[in-house]
Amino acid sequence: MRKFLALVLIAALGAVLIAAVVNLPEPGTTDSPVHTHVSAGYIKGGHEAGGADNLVTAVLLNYRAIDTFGEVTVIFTALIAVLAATSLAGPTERSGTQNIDLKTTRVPVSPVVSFVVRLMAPFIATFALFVMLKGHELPGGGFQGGVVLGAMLILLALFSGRTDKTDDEELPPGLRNWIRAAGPLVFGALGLTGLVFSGWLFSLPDHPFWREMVMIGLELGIGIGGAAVLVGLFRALREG
Amino acid sequence: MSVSDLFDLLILALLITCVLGIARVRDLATAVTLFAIYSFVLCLLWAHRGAPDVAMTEAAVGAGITAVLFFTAIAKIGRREK
Amino acid sequence: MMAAIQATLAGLLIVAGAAFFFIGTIGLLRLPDFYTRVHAVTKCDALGAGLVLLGLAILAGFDGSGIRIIALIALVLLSSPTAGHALARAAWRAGLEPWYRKSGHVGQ
Repeated sequence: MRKFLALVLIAALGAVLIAAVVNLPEPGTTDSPVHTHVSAGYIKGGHEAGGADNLVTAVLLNYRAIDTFGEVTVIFTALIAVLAATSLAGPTERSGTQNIDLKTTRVPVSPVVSFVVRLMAPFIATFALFVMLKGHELPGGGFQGGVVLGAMLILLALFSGRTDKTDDEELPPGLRNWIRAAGPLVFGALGLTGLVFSGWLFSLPDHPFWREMVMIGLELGIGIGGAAVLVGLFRALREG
Repeated sequence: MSVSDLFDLLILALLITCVLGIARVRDLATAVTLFAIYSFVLCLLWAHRGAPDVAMTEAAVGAGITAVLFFTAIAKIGRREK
Repeated sequence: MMAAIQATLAGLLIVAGAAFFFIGTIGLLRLPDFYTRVHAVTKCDALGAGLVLLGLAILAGFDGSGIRIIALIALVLLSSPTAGHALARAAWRAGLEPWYRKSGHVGQ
C-alpha cells in the first residue's frame, strides 16, 4: 500500500515536472521571455552602469550586488559551520582500519614533487592575482582568483613535507580570522561607503578611477577572503 | 546537426556516464575521482557554450578544491561505503 | 605557400599527438598492472598533449595566443611526469607489488 502511494505521488510529481519542461520556451532562442525583459536591460545598460568591460562582473557587482554579498556570506558561513561541526565532534578516534588508512597516506613527500610544486607555486599565485585584478575586463574575478589562490595554498600544505601544521598557521590566530572574514567585511564596508557618498547601498562612485578602485578592492577582498576560507576548510577537515 | 552540437551531445553523454558511475560504485575514492572528471567535462561544456567565467569556476572548484576536500574527508572516515 | 606549410606542419603534429593518446589509452586498457598503466598514461599525457598543443601553437602563429599555448606546453611537461611519479611512488610506498612474468614463461 505504502509503495503504491509512493508510486502515485512520484507519478503525479513527474507528470507536473514533465508538463512544465514541455511548456518551456525553446532553449537558446533570442525571443524567449528570459531574454526579452531583464537581461536585455542588463546587456544594454551594463557597460555604462557597471563600470566593467566584463559584463558578467558588471552584473554581479552592480545589478546583483546584494545577491553577490549573500554568496560571499554563504561561503563564510560554510566555513563557520564546518569549524563548529569538527570542533564539536572532537578529535577523531584513530583506531582500527582508519588508522591504517591514515598511515598509508602519510608517506614522506617525494623531493621531485616538492620541487615541482615549489617551482610552480609563484606562477599559480601570479595567475590568481591576475584573475582577481583583471576580473572586470576579462573572464574571471574575485571568486575564481580566490579559488586558484586557495588551491595553491592547499597544494603547498599537502606537499610542504610537514604533517604537523599548515602554512596559514604561521599567522597569528587573530589576523588569520580577520583574513578569513575579509570577503564579507570588505564587501560590506564598500557597500556602506556607497551609501555614505551617493545614498544607495552598494552603489559605485561616478568617477571612473574611483569606480575601478572600488571594483578592484571588491575583487581582492572576495578573492583573498575566499582563499583563506578554503584553506581553513581544508585545515578543519584534516585536523578536525 | 552541426559539429558543435555533436560535441555538446558527446559531452552530455559523458556527463551521464559519470553520474551513473558515481551512483553505482561502492568505493568512495573512485566516486570522488569520477566526480572530479564530471566537473572537468562540465567545464568543457561551459567553455564551449561561451561562459568562460563559469568554466573557470567549475574547473577550480569542482575539479580542484572539492576533490581535495572530499579526499581529506575520506582519509578520516575510511573509503568503503557501509 | 607559408600558410600551407604552417597548416601541414600543424596537422602532422596534431595527428602525431592524437596517435600518442591512442597508444596511451590502449596501454591503460591492456597493460597488466598499476605501474605499467601509469607509465602508459604519463607518456600519453606529456607527449600527446604536448604535440597537439605544439600543433595548435603553430596554427595560431607567434602572437598572444601562440605564446600562451607554449606556456601551457611547459606546464603540461612539468606537471604530467610529476603526477605520474607521485602516483607510482605512493603505490610503491603503500606496498603494491609490481607485476612480473611467471617464471615458467621466461625464455620462450
